[in-house]
Amino acid sequence: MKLDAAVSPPVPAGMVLASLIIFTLVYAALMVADVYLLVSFARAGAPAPEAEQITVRSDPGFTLAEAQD
Amino acid sequence: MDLNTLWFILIGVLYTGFFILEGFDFGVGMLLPFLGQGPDASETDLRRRMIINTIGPFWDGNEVWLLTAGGATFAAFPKWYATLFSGFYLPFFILLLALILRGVAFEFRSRRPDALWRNFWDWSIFFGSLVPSLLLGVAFANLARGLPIDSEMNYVGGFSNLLNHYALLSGVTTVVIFILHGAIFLSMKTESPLNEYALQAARRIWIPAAILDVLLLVSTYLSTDILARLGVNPGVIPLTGVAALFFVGYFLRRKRNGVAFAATIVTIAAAIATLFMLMYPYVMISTIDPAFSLNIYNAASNPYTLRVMTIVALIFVPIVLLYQGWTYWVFRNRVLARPESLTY
Repeated sequence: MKLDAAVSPPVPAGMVLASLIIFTLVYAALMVADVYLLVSFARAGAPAPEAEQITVRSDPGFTLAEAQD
Repeated sequence: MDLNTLWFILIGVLYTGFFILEGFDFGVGMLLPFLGQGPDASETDLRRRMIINTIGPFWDGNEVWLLTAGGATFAAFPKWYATLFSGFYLPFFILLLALILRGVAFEFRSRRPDALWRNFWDWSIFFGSLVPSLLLGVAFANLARGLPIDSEMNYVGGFSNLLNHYALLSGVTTVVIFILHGAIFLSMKTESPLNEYALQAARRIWIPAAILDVLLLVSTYLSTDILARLGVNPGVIPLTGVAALFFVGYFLRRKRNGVAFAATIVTIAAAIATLFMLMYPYVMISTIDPAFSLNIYNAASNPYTLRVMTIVALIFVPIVLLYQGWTYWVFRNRVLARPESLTY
């Protein structure tokens, strides 16, 4: 089957083009919003190490044998 | 029962699962700007976050049922898929845009504190829930009613052809029943006072929902060949669906929200079952000539494909059901009115 024969007859070429352009624009706008969020979170920096991470290490019940499991 | 019939039923089951599950999260999305209103800005924001968090862990899993139904249609009945997706190109394009914005909105909404940002995404969730509900209601009514399909299995009507009275009634009914379904879900998943407001909303929306549902059944007699196919008495399934919706009002008045939710599930399941009973063994009914209609045999893949699909489905569908059920179990508690407990 050639590409020409596989095209959906009821869908005009203009509509395919229009949907392609609109999808591209929407995804581009969403990408801008995403990068904006990424940059603003990166600028804010990583949060300070949390207290609970330290308690896990100093937990007397936590042994090397368990860690190897 | 042959594999063609089995896959027709399975696709019906997938759409049923989708409308039951995504039905309430579409409803919750449509209620968001209205139930998410507090005495001040911070309470409004807290309520909106609570509302979004009720469906936060579920909505994407629910949506997968639609993708699976579409995928199963493509694999089992490729000609049905081709006719449907090219014929409904514009509405499905709009549907996808709405779902894309809605999905992103849940993730982005609470990542910035400013009101304008949050408001934009809240309304994206609203329209992203309203538009798909409306369009799917319109699309399914057109499947029941029949479409101008030519001898080459191509849809030859325009977009306006899809917007007939019957289809629009079905679209509006779908929207209103989903709002009811979502309001009952919210009443079960939120803390006071939000759950009481949700219950009030459910009681109010129940009246138009029940009226629209009866109107839809009556106009199904006027607009489809249900009379020839199911008879004057359509049988136990459609009537149970309509009756269940009437019981919803009774259960809501007695604050039996869980039972009311089960009843809206019955209504939605019965509606989809009725549609598939109306169509069988056709999948796209031609209004030009009945001989041009697509059915489960002339639209199907070859028997080998259907056999492989059946084996794959028998293995993976139970796994999917298990892990989705597990998600609902893990997040079975009510969403608390505490900002630090909210993910979205």
